[in-house]
Amino acid sequence: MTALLEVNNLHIAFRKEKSFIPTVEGVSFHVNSRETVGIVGESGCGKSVTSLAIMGLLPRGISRIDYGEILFEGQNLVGLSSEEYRKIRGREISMIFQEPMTSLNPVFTIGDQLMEMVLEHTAQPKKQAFKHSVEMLEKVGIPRAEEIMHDYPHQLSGGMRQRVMIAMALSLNPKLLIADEPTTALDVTIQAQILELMQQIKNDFDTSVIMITHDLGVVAEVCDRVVVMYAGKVVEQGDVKAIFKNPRHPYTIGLLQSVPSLTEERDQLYSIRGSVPLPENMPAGCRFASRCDHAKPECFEHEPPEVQIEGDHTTSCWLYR
Amino acid sequence: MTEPLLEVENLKKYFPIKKGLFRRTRGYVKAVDDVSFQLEEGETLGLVGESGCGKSTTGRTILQLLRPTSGRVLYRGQDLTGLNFQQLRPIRREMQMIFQDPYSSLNSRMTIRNILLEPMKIHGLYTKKEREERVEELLELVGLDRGVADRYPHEFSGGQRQRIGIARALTFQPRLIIADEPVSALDVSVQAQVLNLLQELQETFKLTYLFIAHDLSVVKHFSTRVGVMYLGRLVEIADKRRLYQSPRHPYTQALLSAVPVPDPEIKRERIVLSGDVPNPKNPPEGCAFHTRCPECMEICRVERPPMIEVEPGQFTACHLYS
Repeated sequence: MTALLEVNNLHIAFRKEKSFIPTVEGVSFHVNSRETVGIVGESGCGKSVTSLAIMGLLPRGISRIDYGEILFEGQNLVGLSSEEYRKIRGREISMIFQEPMTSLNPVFTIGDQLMEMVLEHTAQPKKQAFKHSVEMLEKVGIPRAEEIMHDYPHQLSGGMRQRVMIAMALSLNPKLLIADEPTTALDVTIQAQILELMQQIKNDFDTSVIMITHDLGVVAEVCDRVVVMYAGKVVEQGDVKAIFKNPRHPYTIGLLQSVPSLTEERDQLYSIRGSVPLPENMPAGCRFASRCDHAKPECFEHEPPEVQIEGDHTTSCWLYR
Repeated sequence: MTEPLLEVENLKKYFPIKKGLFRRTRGYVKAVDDVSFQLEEGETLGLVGESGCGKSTTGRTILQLLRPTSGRVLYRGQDLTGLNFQQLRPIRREMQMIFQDPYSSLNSRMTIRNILLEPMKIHGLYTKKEREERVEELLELVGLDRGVADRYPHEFSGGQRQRIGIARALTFQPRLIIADEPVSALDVSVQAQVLNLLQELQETFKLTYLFIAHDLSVVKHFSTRVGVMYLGRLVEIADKRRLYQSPRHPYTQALLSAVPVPDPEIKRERIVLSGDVPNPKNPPEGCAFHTRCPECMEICRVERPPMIEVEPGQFTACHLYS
């Protein structure tokens, strides 16, 4: 089976003053069809940048892809012209963002924005686009869908706006949906509604999902496989059960232990000492070495190779060499 | 029994909605609507709820940063609500606040030293030399190198800034600290560092915390007792273990079941609430939660449920138990 999306050895750099500083270095992972892959990591680890690269939305001029390929159904997306990309975005791959208020245009109605998507990409008449948009709103569980079509974004609550974004992202039935922290700005009870909706949509629309999040609870709940990123690199990836039950990389282990638990009690939380190195100041060797309890001399000198643990569970760490 | 450190009695904070040419008051947002609880010395009371439930306003009203509409706030037996600015000042040394956003709560044009010196200058305490010593002491307490005092806030990471905010709150050896979402802007690994620091400080200085947060797992880890708020009202308050193991109020039950658990093998029965939190401008009659409650009864629509003790130490405001 070939993967729907394959990211191979992706390198992305951002400009700082006169030089380009690598922010994503050698990221590889794949997404099979109908699969939900979670990308987890802390702020600045490169998870959002990676997803913007897949969407072809890296800011021009200040960022560039130095190396690597992004294969979507076998076609390399790196280097596509904006014309070509426009045919893929929305139709084949679409994206929802963290803050639904800033990703909707405040001066157009919900209907205008939903229909624009359909009218841009298909040859449907306006009437039909309207009907289709109303249907989409109903599918994502919005009551009074026809009335809402005439509302402006500020008239809706955060949870409703995120539903509108999901309706928009799915209205052309894309094969891949990238969700960048889709529930982070929402309250827990609303988060539960949206996660439930995303599960249901995945089944109804046969969509693959890349879920970018820092919330390990969300990952455990919705993902099939997990990619853990740290300081611009993938440190571990594998099946969701393998990652949570048998994490191997000291960073993954530390991350899982530092989350307070609802089900068990601990006197003190485990905390990873120190902080993430800055991109312009990346140490040689393993990037996690200075915070790692198991670091050996070689960790500070040479980059760890990717080691296979079992099946597609891999980690980049000298401990398992 | 000893006197509680803080008693909040029937606290209300209404914000007027002014409209029209003459800015006439056309109604009120009832941000805090009749909230009562007590805080014993040395304990940590967690206050949880979703955005707009009034938990932050409660914290600010206790400190008199916002003046309450009615109700009493007794700090060691003294009512703060009637005191003027001058009278409050010495008391404020004993009650401090830590804010959510370490980026906006530190003045970006001041060095860390000046940020930490300012409260001492304002309160006119200590000699110059003592102040300088105190700054270094404070930095050490929160695990920062004393050499960083002459740097500016932008040179620090989020976690380090939060440590500076904590150091500032500790200046006058307070007894009560109101922490308003102190870790929600931080990454998980840093969040753990800051929570551990707050815990150590509590043990060292016998601090009492009112810990305001929306993350239920963090609150469970950190608190001894937990209060749950919904639309300006306290709906349930109990010992931590009791609240998490046998929540009584349907809202608490739904809230707890909605938290995603970081374990892919646990598939829980989840209570998904329909709809959104109603607008606090126009809260529902009777029980504020009745519009979303899966167990709503006739009486819930008309009569506001009183707080009842359902188990020793567990109070809930729900008609199911009256």
